[in-house]
Amino acid sequence: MFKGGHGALDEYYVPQVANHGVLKYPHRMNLLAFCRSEDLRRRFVKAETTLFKVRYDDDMGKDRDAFLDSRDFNWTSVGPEEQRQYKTEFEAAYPVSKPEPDRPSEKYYKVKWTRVPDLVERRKVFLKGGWAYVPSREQSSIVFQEYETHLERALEITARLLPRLDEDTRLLPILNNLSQGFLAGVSSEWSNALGSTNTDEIRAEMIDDMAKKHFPLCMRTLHESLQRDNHLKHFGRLQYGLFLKVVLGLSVEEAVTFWRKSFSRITDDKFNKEYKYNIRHSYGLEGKRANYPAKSCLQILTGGPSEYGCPYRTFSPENLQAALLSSYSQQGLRSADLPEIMAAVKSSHFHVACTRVFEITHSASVKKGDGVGGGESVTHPNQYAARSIELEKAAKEAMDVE
Amino acid sequence: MPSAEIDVSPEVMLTFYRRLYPFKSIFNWLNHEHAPSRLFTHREFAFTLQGDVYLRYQSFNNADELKRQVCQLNPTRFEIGPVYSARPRDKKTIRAGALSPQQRELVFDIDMTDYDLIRTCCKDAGICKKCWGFIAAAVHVIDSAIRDEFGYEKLIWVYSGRRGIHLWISDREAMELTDQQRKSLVGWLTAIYPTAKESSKKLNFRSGGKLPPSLLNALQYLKTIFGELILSEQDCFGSEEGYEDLLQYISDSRTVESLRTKWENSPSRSSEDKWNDLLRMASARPNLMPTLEDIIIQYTYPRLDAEVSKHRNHLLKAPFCIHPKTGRVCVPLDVASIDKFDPEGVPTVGQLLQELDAIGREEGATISHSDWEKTSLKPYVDLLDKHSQSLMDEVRKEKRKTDISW
Ligand code: SF4
Ligand SMILES: [Zn+2]
Repeated sequence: MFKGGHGALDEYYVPQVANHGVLKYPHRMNLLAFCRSEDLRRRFVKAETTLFKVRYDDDMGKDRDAFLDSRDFNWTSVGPEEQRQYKTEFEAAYPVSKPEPDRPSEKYYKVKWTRVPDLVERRKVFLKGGWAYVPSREQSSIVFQEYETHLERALEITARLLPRLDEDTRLLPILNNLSQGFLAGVSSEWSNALGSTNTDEIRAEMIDDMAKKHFPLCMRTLHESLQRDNHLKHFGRLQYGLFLKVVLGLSVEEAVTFWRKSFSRITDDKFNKEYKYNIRHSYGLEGKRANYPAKSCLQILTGGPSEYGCPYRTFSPENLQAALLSSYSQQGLRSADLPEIMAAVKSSHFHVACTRVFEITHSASVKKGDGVGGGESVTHPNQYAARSIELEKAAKEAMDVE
Repeated sequence: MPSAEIDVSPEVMLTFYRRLYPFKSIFNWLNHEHAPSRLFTHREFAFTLQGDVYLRYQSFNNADELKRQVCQLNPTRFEIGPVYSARPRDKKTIRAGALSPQQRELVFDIDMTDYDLIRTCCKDAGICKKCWGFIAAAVHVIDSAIRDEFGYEKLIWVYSGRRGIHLWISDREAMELTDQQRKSLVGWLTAIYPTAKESSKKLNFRSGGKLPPSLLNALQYLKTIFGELILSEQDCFGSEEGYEDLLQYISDSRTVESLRTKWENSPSRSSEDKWNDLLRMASARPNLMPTLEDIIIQYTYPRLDAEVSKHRNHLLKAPFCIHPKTGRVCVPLDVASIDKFDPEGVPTVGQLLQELDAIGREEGATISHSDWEKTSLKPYVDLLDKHSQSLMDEVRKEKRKTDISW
């Protein structure tokens, strides 16, 4: 759909975009979905930049270096020899308010001066031969700034191209869906608040049962492959780990237990060395201590490698139907329900399909059209699961009263 | 009645364009290679015709077309603009907005006007060897900053025909700078705001008490010319007005008072004497030292006409045009001999035509289109040709590189 035809967009977007692991610009699809109003653009840029900062500050040093070194960013770290050569100039250009003699000398990066015009204009940088030398303490803010500016420009350019794309009737519903979902997603309704509604302590051994009862297909898929293979790759771990943490309020101790049990084929030693840190990190207990938000449908739908994407979008029709039946027939999903679900998938209404599955599997208390409450459709896996847990609780309480 | 030297009548101009103007050299310089490219064909030329009619959005396929049009319209001068996304001459027939500036030499304009408040030798339109010293100092500072700090190498300086100088930078990256980047670069190079003269007398070059490295570099050089230019030649602090100007930059009122008393009582003290008085005071009060450095910068640092450099679509007079008031040719200059340059020694169009006449009488009337070779225009054209050659070498080198990589 994006190949051919709309060459201008490709021309702008592709050559200038660096994709390195998790550090990357958002998918073009998102640009299309969010370029269409000033407000959407602003909110999208803010959310994506925040996400980028989180990823940037994360401990994936290799991704970061690859991103910085890429053709588009082109930051080169300054070698020790050059660092010695320009010592006085650095000191003059970047005065330190309180010199600390014991402090190891600061690391510098260089980048073409044209990338940091603001610093140049204010003479806040040391320039040599067309390169701007920037101390690491100033670098990240520049990278963020650049990321944001680039995104804004990409959105504006996309907006200018959109009138032509609007004619494509297949595309428009997807775009509408994406942008709607996004607005719900960033309002942080699902990323923080719901985790804390769940006061009963969840223990590692309860997760398998909860997954079967409450998880949307994306998380079910991750759960199942973890149980089957006793392993999940990095992105899968990150995604599933954050989901469990936020939606279930899984404590860090229980999380470690859960992952330890699931990774049954590796030794304690390897687990402690390679995984424990990351789990603790995702809880903000190591590294930057950031509190990471779990991914929204929008992010799952459009970003990242497809094996961790939204199954409604990435699975072939046959596989999807098989997965739906095996995952949800216990909750009441029948093959007679499939045509309706598959129709939504076929017209690229992935949220709608997922929402319909929710309604069917919660038919005791949810009517068709109720969605995940108030007629809303699914925009976040956390929302899906949280609502499911809530319904179960309400049902239990109703029985207690009786 | 104007003398023959500054005769710029239409007949004189036409002969000049027909026989002397180096169109081929201008083409090579703008185009970077022999075969016409967008750098030339999509380039805007603007003509100022007799009677000040201004004709914009002209463009040409090659040097001959340009020459034909120039000879036909016989403008008093013409200007060079940016390379557009389409041919400027198609402006009327293409979609609105389809004509946008893409590339342009990075240009600078330094003009004596901005020094009027400090120079003492000439006034208004006048210029002499003495006040050329300000321009020469500016050229040295800008030239080395552009090369050393920004890494550009393809610079050519062109005398503006009266009392200023233009710089054209043709490095590929410089050609492609956006307006925003140009503005930033100009910001980096701007320290003096001549028009702000009345509003604020505070010198403000420092952050945290230190000069940024760029100004530090400039200062090293400016220190070496300050004595001769400001103290001896211009005698800037000789008059009361002059030394009052100096005193206002000193914030310590006790110092100011004692100097003023001293200088009022002995009006014969030269600028050099007065500067020495100040130096002596500073040796007792080290915190005055930065002020002295700032004063040196204030009096000698380049004063740029920033607007010229900031926008890709700014038009700038083509080299080798004739200045309509002086009759002088806008000749390219070599930085190495910029200090010795005498604006009054530049050939005028009248003088060149006389030279042609003299040759004509000797050799019989064989008119060729590179008659400039036989006149005193030659060294200046050679200078531009040499510069263009280095641009062409660069392009050829790049082409070879891509050939190999395929
Ligand atoms: S729609 Fe959202 S919650 Fe449902 S499967 Fe896809 S990503 Fe998961
Ligand atoms: Zn003078």
